[in-house]
Amino acid sequence: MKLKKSILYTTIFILVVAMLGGFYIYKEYNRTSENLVDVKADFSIGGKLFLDEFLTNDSNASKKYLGKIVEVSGEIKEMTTDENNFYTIALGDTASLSSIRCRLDSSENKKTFQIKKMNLISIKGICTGYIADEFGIGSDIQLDRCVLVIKNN
Amino acid sequence: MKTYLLAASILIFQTISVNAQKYFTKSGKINFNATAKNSPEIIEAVNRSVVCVIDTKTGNMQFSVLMKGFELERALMQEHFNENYIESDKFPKSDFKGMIVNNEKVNYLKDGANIVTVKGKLTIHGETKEVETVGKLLIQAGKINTVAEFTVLVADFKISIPGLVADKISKIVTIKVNCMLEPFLN
Repeated sequence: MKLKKSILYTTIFILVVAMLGGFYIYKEYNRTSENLVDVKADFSIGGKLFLDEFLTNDSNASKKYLGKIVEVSGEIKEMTTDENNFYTIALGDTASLSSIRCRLDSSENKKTFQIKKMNLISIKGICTGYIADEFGIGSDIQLDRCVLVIKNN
Repeated sequence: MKTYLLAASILIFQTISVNAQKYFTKSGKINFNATAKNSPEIIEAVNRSVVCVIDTKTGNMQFSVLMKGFELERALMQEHFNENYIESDKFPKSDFKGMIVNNEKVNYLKDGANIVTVKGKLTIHGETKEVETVGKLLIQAGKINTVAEFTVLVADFKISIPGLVADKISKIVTIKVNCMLEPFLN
């Protein structure tokens, strides 16, 4: 009798583990990239300083920032949309050709009208890297899946 | 006086647009498809922040793209792409440096489609390979749309695909380029 009970418990245990495992694999497999709205930034930095770090030492800055969530504050230089309605906001000094190019997450599109009148803004996104200038068109840092950080005060 | 000014400004504007020798974009598009023939899932990605420059005088052409900027359908796929295959922490950028072989035949001032042969060095995953492909330059109202499709072998760029997923990921990857370049006025 005792033996039967232990076999039953073991079977139930294995089944539960298998189900949990299966559920985990299913969730993991179908996982989409997380939205950054509620994710804390790894770094918070002014746009000019951010660009300067890459200009001075590209590989050091890459090691530090690549794949990290960075919140950058700066002046809006340009805001463009493409044919699929994806927004890109370039932050930086209008006198310079270099900028921080932030591709907005599509969930943020509805907020863009709010920032049209703003000069200074903070944007949080994943740093995907830096493309150094070779043709006199400016060097750029790229941020992906960006969200707007709008502080109410 | 007003008409003079207008005429002068039109003239200046025209000279500028005619003299633009460099065309560029920072929001070009590159897609790749690495779906194996009988794979149950589609493995494709897009990057919409491609930097591209063409010098119309010399025919020099360059593309740069950040590997972490490729978006794949599933987060897990994207992580595997970055961490295991392309190793984007070590090799964050891929580029193509080359030239339009038949550049002298392209009339950049006239709207229309031009078939071009492009030849140069493609660097992915830290490995450089000579490539040559035929593409199109579509001149539209002072802009250049570059369109090309070509294939590369995964093995040429020392990208290793583990046996477990070998039936899903193709050994030959199709790359599609679509960049709308604007005149660089500076």
